[in-house]
Amino acid sequence: MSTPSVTDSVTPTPAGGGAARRGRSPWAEFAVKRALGLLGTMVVLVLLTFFIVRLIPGDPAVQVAGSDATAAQVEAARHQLGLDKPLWQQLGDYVGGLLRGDLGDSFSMRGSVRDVVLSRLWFTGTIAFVAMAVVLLLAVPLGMAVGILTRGGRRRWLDRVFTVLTGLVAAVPSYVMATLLILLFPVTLALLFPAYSELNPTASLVLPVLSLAVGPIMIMARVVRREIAVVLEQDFMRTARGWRLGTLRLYGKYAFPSLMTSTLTLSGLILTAMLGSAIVVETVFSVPGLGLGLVRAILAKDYPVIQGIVLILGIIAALLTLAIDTILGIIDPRTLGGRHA
Amino acid sequence: MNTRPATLLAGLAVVACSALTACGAPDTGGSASTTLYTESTAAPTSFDPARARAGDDFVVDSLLYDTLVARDDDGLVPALATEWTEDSASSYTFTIRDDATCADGTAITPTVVADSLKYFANNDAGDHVFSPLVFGPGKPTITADDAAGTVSIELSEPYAVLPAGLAIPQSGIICPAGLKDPEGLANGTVEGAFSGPYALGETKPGVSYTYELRKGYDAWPEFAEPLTGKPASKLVFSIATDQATAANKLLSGDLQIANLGGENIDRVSKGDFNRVKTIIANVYVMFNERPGHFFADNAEARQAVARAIDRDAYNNVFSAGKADLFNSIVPSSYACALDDESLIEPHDPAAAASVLKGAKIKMVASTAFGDSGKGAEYLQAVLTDAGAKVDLQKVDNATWATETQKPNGDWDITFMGDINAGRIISASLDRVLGTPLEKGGRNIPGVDNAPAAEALKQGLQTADVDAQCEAFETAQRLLLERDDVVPLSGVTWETTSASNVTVRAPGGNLNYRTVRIED
Repeated sequence: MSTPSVTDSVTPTPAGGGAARRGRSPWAEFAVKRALGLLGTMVVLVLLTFFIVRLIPGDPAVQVAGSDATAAQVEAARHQLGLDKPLWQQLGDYVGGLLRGDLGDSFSMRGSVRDVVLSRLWFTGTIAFVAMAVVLLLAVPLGMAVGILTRGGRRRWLDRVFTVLTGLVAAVPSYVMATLLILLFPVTLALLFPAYSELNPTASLVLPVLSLAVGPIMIMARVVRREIAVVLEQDFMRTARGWRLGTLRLYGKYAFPSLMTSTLTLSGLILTAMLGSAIVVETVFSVPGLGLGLVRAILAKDYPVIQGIVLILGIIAALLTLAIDTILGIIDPRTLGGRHA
Repeated sequence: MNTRPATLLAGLAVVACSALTACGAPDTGGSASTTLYTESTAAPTSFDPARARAGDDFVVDSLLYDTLVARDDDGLVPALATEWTEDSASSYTFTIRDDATCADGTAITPTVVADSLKYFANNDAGDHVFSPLVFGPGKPTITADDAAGTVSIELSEPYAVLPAGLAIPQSGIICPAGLKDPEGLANGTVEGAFSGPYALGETKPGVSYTYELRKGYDAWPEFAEPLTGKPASKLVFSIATDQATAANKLLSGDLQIANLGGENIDRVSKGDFNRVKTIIANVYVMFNERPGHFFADNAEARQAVARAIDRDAYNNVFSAGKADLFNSIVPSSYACALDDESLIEPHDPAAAASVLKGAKIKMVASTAFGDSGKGAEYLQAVLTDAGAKVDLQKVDNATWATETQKPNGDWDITFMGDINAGRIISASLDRVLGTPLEKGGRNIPGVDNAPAAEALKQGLQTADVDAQCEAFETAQRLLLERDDVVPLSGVTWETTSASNVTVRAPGGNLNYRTVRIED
């Protein structure tokens, strides 16, 4: 990248130590560290979810056997579910299944956990990734615009209004935002859908996406506004302004790339957080995604589905973080944690 | 690089526009479409009717499998069996219609019916939960006579309510293909297993299930009031989140049928909808009468609890006044139900206080009954007003069932929500008068009311309808006189459907087979 940027202007750290000193690629060290980290995360997730689900009050065998079951029938259900085995054996069976790629079978519905997860993943993935796209498309231009308009202490009123408004909206929890959006659009304006609709799947996902996106738009816009203020004071921007370039070219080509690192880092954090918020938003809008599935599985004491969904969400979050770090590593190799080769 | 954001922006704009346009004209599944959308509270636990356990399983089974008889407003009507005879409370013969077929074209002969019933009766694995409720405590001997077109059922112990039991969807007839592949049957993957009007179509586990009308199916039950209109070619059941959302979807046209309760009924009251009211569970106060618990051998305390309750005030809290109050443990619409208001204790808070002052009572309640268990909160409040110290544990339904359905459960009093799938009064009485849980029975509170239990037993041993009702009424009277239970109300649903869609609840049982689209 020949374009001058903030990252280019940072003084390189003195050489010595780390991968470079040992003559290894920083990518190799990065890959080893991350693979070990991913493995550790998975082990912790598997163990934690396995033991935590068993702390949920209530007996899954009673739930599965139904309200008309006798004690003997409940015991038969317990045997069928494998819950009469010692805990270590249940853990062994579960881990053995995972190693074979088998997440087990649902207690509460016919079918494998894999099928349950796959049928729901699309919904969660769609609302989270579309929400993220909306955040990037709106927050970056908004933050840049306010930053540019208020640079050097200009238009202080705009700065104050922006700061107060974004702070207020960002503080609204996603479930409150979801309720407010339902109140505004379907209830008051008779627009869009208050819940997921099989008849209008695309339209009915608009409000869930907005519920997830509005808060992060504000957060990211604030970060971008602060970042751009710093970038605009850099020497290369003063030089670029002297070239009398058009506004779009000036800020798009010279200022925007300098925001990439912080924007991407924040995007990773927001996207991971959105997977958590999806649990609430999916429940409010009745979107049949992983979040709603998790809530239902907890109520149904469906241990395999709870374990499966938590594990898959954990893997997705870990992989997202890895992907963001990899992209950051490509943009700025110093973020790899080692030294330049 | 510069074109990517623009392309993304344009793409999103297209999606947004199409989304907003779509919401202007939702497809309500109107006259051109015969696909109807509705909801169930949970995913089916099995597609094998013999292994059905929950209310949503029964709905599925009623679509996929035919039963020998069907429940109508005035009793049983022919379904797969055109007629039946009761030689005694232990001997029954059913004549099977000769034109019914399975989804794979196999004829439903008496042998097919007998094989299915034998499979259902075999409860060796303990997972055919409803088998004892249909065949009673003894062993059935089921024989087919293809030449005569009949199936005979001989019971080792008299059980007078067998025909009514054979109306429940759990006893639905499984075709030979299903019996050959029990695992596939449970998973719903054996299309030839189905004997009912619908076959399982697309399934999205835990999300939605589609049932497709079988071409040429014509074995609809012979209801006294014939069904009019045409059946839906597809019924799509998605899994509901809550009734408020269901009401929203009904109003926006995303659902054509929804089950609503409490205040949600009012939300759609002004719309152009069809409605049918059903009671999905019978609610009463139940006391743990095992030794060591507060209400054991303490009829005075049980009576005091009954007197502490103002039934109208309770009903307002429990269901916004929408539920009907019962004078027994079942509604008066059940055959042989006692409807004698004089057996209900009068509201007398002073008398209740004189007995309950200082009492320490452990109460457990499910959030599934009423509006998140508000009925239990009402009971806690009136008992507290009477001077008792009530420790209320309000938990989800599974936790409640776990606690109350183990013999050593740590509770003194609870709200019982009795789901009686067959609407057979003996099944409800068995929960409080039969063999206790610790001896393998269904008597949850461990009530030891020998005269009432004997009356229940007598009722099950006679095929004479009048004698049967007399015995069951005696059992109820003896139960209420001792205040072993305090009758309250039902969990009431209004099944609300679009103006051109009708659903019926023959004999009080919501029946999705009766869904029809009017021209």
